[in-house]
Amino acid sequence: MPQTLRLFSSQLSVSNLLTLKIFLGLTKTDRVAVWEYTDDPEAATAVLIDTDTPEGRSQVKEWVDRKKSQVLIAFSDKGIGLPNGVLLLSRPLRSADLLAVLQEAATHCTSGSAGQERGKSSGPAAQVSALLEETNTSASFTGTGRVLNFLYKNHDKALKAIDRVGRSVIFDVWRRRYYTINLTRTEVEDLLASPVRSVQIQEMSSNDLAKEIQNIKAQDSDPLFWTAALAISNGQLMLGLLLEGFYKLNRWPDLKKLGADPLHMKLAALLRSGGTIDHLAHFTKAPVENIIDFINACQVLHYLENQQKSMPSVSPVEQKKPSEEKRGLFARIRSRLGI
Amino acid sequence: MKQIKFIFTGPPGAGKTTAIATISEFPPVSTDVFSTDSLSKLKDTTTVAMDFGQITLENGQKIGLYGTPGQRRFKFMWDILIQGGLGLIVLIDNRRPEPFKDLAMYLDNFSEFIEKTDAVIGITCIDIKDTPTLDDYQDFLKERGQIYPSFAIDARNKDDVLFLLNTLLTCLETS
Ligand SMILES: Nc1nc2c(ncn2[C@@H]2O[C@H](COP(=O)(O)OP(=O)(O)O)[C@@H](O)[C@H]2O)c(=O)[nH]1
Ligand SMILES: [Mg+2]
Repeated sequence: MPQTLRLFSSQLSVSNLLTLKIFLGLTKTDRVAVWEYTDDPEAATAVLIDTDTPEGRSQVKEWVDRKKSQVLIAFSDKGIGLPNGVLLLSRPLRSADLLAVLQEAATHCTSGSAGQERGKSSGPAAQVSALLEETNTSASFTGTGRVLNFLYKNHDKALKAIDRVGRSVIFDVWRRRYYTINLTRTEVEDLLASPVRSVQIQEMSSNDLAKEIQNIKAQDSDPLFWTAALAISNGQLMLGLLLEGFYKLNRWPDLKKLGADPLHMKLAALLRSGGTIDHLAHFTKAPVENIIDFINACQVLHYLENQQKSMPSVSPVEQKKPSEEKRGLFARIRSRLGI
Repeated sequence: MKQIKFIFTGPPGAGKTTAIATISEFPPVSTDVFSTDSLSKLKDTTTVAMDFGQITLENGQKIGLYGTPGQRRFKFMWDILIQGGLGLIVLIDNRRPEPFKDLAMYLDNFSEFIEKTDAVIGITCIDIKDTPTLDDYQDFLKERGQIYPSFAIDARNKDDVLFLLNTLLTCLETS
């Protein structure tokens, strides 16, 4: 049974509002979440605000300050300076973008990371992810969510993704390789960020795969997925990950290959013994959304242990830091070596 | 006063001398060390090179860079060697017949020291022989219930060596 979710909007132009209502109708046949328009902000699951107007901007701020349980979606050209946790729907209003954002909003209101007291939609996040889990044996896939998430869910397969203008990329997800002759790395990254619905995805048999990649150079998909996951993440935990969850690495991320971000190094060091996002933020003094980005990227590359639902009473991330003297020494060594 | 130092270990040919040379202020000095189980059996000894390099910090403090063979028969010198050790850099030569066995040996032999400090692992010569892969090493570590930063590196490349040290320092700073 699909869940019925409601969207309220504010500051939208008459034509955008009309378009929005028409697009919401597209979710009618969705097996997971059906969206309806509501004029009552209190009854809404999500609120869409045009933030390219001064009123819209201040409304978003107010809404965030009031800590309502609704998921906030900003409709904006650039989305600069949005408060944490606000989803972005870019202008102009396009159905594919809207459906992707709604799908994300549905995830957030069911996984509980956006609101605290959401009694009504208590169903597990797994329900929402059912569509992504779906293993379709027929030729092509349809679904919601982004291509990257889809590939993540189908990590044992080889898949071919074809964009609207017929350019294609083959992901041997299992062997963590990808192949393309007509897309640049950035274009493949964009493709990974786009909604599954905007791309045609086909499963490939091992024979087809072998045949098609014969003369194409294999490329490592780890750095690609990593960058795409960080870029898409936007401070929102991936499907199935919980804000209050306990995270732990199962292996050290290859940050030499993936990019030596000092925060990522620190987080990896801390996540060796594990911790919650709160602990990590507290220890590193980094913004929570940057930590979430890292966790998402680690999840996509399978660097994380299966999530434990309940958090151990004492977090292994100990708060003790090296002595002042030691820290001074480390800083001097760093400065001497230029690292 | 005990000298503060980083300790590089690994099988002969893994790149210890080379790695130290990329960052040391002077070419690594090799010292001959007698290898024996008992000093009375001097006849059976072989000599082995221990490397010594150094960097000087802005306050004049000198940090030693020690390369040491890690086989158990050199255990007699470790207790002294590890004094003042900040952490361990294990270099593993991917071309050797049993690189996992090598890795296990160095981690086991230095386990007490690692426990108190930390360790990073650099797999060298992957450019010459590409199996096992870094993933294989990580699987191996995972089976042992250990998570150490491990990377494919070239000991001749200064940035690679600095990356190992950077990671080691980060681990030391966060534990
Ligand atoms: N091709 C290749 N050669 C390496 C690499 N690392 C070290 N070497 C070379 O391996 C040789 C042995 O290195 P050395 O530092 O003497 O090893 P040690 O016995 O551990 O001190 C030297 O000629 C190095 O230049 C690597 O990653 N790739
Ligand atoms: Mg040597």
